[in-house]
Amino acid sequence: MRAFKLYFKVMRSSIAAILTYLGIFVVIFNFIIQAQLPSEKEDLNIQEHKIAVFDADQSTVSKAFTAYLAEHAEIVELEDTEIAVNDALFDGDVYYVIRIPQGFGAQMLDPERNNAELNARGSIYVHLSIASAQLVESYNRTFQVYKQVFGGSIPEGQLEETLDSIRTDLQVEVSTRAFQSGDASKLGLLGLSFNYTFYIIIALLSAVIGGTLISMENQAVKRRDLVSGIPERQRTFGIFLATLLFSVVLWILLIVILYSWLGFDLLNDNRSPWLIGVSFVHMVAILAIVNFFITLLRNKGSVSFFSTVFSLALSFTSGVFVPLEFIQTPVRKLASFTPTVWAVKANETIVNMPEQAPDYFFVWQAMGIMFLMAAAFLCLTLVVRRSRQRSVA
Amino acid sequence: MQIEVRVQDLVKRYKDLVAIDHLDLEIQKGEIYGLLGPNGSGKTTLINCILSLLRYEKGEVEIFGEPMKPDAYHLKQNIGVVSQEPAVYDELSVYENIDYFCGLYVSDKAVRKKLVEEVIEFVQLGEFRKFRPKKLSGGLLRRLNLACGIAHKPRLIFLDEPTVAVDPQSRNRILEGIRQLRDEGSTIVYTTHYMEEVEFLCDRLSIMDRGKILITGTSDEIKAISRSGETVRVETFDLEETHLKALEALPSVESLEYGQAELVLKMKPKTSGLLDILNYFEHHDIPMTKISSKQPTLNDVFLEITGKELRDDV
Amino acid sequence: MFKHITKYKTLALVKDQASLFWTLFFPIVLVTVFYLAMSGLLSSDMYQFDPIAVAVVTEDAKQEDLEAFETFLDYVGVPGTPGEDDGPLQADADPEDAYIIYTKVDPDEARALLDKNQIYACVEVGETMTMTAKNARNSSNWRNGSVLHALLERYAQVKNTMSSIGKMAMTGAIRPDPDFGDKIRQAFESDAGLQEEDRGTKQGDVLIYFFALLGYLTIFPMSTTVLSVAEIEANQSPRAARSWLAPYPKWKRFFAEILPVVVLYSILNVIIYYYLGALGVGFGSQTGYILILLLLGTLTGIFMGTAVGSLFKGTPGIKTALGIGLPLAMGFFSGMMAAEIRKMIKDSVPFLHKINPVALVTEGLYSLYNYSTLDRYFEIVIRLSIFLVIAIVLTIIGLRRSNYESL
Repeated sequence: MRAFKLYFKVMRSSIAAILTYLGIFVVIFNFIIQAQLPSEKEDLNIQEHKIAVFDADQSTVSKAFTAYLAEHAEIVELEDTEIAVNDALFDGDVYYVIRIPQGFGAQMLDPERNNAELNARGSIYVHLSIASAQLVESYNRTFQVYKQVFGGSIPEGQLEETLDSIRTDLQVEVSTRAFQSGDASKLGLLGLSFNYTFYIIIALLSAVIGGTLISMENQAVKRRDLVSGIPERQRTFGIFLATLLFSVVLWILLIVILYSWLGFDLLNDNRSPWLIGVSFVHMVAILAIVNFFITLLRNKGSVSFFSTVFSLALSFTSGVFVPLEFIQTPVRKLASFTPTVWAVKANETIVNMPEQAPDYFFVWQAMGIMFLMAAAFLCLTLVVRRSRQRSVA
Repeated sequence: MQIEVRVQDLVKRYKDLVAIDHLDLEIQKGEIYGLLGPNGSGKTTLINCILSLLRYEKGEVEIFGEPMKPDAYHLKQNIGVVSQEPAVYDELSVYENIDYFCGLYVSDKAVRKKLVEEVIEFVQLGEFRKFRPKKLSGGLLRRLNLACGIAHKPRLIFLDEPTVAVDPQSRNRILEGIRQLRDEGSTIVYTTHYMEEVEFLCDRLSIMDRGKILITGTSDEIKAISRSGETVRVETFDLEETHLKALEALPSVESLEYGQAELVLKMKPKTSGLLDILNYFEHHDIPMTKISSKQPTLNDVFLEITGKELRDDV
Repeated sequence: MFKHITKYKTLALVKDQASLFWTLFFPIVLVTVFYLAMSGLLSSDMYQFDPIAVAVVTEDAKQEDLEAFETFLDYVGVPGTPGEDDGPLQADADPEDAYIIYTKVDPDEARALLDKNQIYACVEVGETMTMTAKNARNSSNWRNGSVLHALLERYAQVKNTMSSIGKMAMTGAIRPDPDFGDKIRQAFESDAGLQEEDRGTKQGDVLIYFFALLGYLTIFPMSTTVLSVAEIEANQSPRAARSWLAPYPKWKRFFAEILPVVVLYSILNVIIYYYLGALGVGFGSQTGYILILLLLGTLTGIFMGTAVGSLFKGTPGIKTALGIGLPLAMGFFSGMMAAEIRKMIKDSVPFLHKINPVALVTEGLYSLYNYSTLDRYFEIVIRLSIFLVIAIVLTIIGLRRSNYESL
């Protein structure tokens, strides 16, 4: 128990640094969860159309078209400059920008034409561009249909009435329903948030445990310990136990923060314990890996670099920040040698688990693989420590 | 005699603790001036205040006859400091370290090269010039530390315990070097715990405690104020009680102890103690196998003045 | 003396192999890993629309609704079959140009398919259309709802229009000629004249992750320079105390010591930039302006570190934690790890976004890539320069002490 207690005594000197890291990462974590919080709607969440319209024509037809768009989408007022438009598209303030050129109305009414030129620009989200294009096409085609109803051209006297009819025809309702209750959306967010805890745990453990471990592995100190009555085995066990306890406390803190944002009632969902279980096993596996690399490093100055590289590299390649399906196959295969990708996949499985006949086999498999990784890295660490012990002696 | 360093009524506080307590000091040109005191007496604080490294609440400090300030670069040009802790770059070699620190004072390359070579020879680090500090033993590192502080041949040198944890050979070399520096015209302020160094090196010394200077003078002058006389040790067997009482009653004997065939007599100061003891033994025909006499040392005086406890607080 | 100090600082930097290794290794590894993770996003395939898997339930539909809807299905989709082992719906024919893949099932089967995620939504055809889907945010299909909803609305709108035309014909408001039906069909099928621009927005919007990465790497030097003040302040290291006693002003010594660091990191960021280019990540053609921005960012990162190091009275451990944590937090707030965070910060704490140097570099790179004018770029350069000046001033304020209360 001496090494166990000593670990925390040594850690005391870096408590301020530990709290600094903790503070920064907890703030990051809070923002992540806040950004993901679902709306209160019980209904199905569908992305609203957000459209900007620049009408250079200002004809009766173009105004009617703009009025129709306003009924089916949120019209966003923008300055007609390249920068304002780009910024709005980039920031997601607008998903579709429509430019109605001069002569639009005349072209629409032209009996020789069955369309009018219209320019549009979408954002990165191709789905939303497709949806907005449907809005536009729907109006234009309906207008052309009505032209044919009047034999190819709408009489001027009937234009207003026709525009009203078009508007009325296009006012439809398609109901939407969420398959599961609002909590299902929250559970999805819980899964996503658990993914982000993986990054936080990796970054915190590697930054915070490293310094203390290295101090305790100082050669001069070790030499003294070796000639004492304490077996190296006992010392190693004490240190590992201390790092495990510390990691568990950190992990619990993160889980509490997570549930306090998303709601402790989510603990009642039968999938919640699975997510917690996967997260715990992942934490143990990461601890084993961190212990191994810190044992190799030996230099306090390298620890901070290592922690940043390790945490970011692992998180980026394992689907924490970028969805797994976007990551190239060779990278995913390489990442499968680390526990994080297994934890992410397990989370995905849990969140998408069918209500009828759920099958958690893959989750057990993933947890088993992570445990094996933890054991493997633990053994490697012991081997390295044993060989170092011989060289110190 | 020209005064190189003058300190008047210096006061330095660390919150409620008075580290330097209305201290006056004068250091003459060309002398090796020793500063002795237990841990926490204020020696390093005093030096740092003299160098304007530390702010002080009251007092005046003059170096070379001019007020010392943090931006008195013309004064700093002629000062060298060798701190207790080695202050060198681990990434640079011995030569590079000395060249770098010398270069902070001497910009002319040719002059600097000559100075660096001279100081390397002075501290006898020639065969280690390409070594990095981590590869040097404690003694060699101290020599490097010394070289970095004096390479530019300063007029005034502060040496703060330069021989701590140093092997005897390096220590000898350092001490000889310091004497050589004095002989070449430098004024040296030397702090240490080693009494034999002070007795060997210092022209004058001060004993400091709790931020005050208790006594200043040469080694002999300070030893002379000791309340203790010499200590006489006699090896003799089965000395009778009557003789012990008679010896204790001698006018020159302060106190005595007898045990395990050894008689230890503390004599009063300024008395011919040894002679009296010899006469008594001869007169009473008491056999002795061995007799020795030891004069009070600086250490004795130091402990007498500052107290016998070793204070490591502060 | 300035040259002398700079020379030896450079030598010390180069000879400190452990630190040099990490200084070079970290950005190269991070960039490589980032590229491996994100390059999938760069290929346009990733933004191709995949047909939406849908189950169609027609039990409550009237015959005419059923016929109309089947026509609609043929127009917008292809039939499909549920995959083996509860796999997703597979198209029976080539789904190119199709919006949906559909299968007609009864309500219970539809629920089961939805439960097992073999389909995105279930559509019930009737008097009103109803679409049912999961709200769970699954990254690949959570935006399908907009498209499917728009398609279903389109169907309903066409139905309405046909109904209106029918009424008009019945009331005699219009007199359809024999080829009226063909003309109507042609009108429904006509090209709407919509032309969508693509100025590389999609590419640029994915590149934003790489812009944020570069922004982060320019600020990253903060993690080393936060400790560099220890070489200047006499109360932080014995070497600094020795150097302090030299007849040379502290602030000049500081700049002499920081210059090699500036050069090292500037060169490093240029290497990173070209390395990314070699990997195939293009940042546009305005290399000169890009390099100026990167240099400005690097300087800002360096002096942010020195400002924190000189003003903040903490242990080296805390300073290291700040030096590592703050750039990470800034990168995070710029959307390096989660794009929605950037938007959230911009909306909720706009001031923070405006002064975040990583965000400034990110937006500067984005503006160079996307905008044809340099107005935005220069605005960002000015803001970043102001930030840099503030960092330098704070550093000097922190270093202004001529002596110390204690050592």
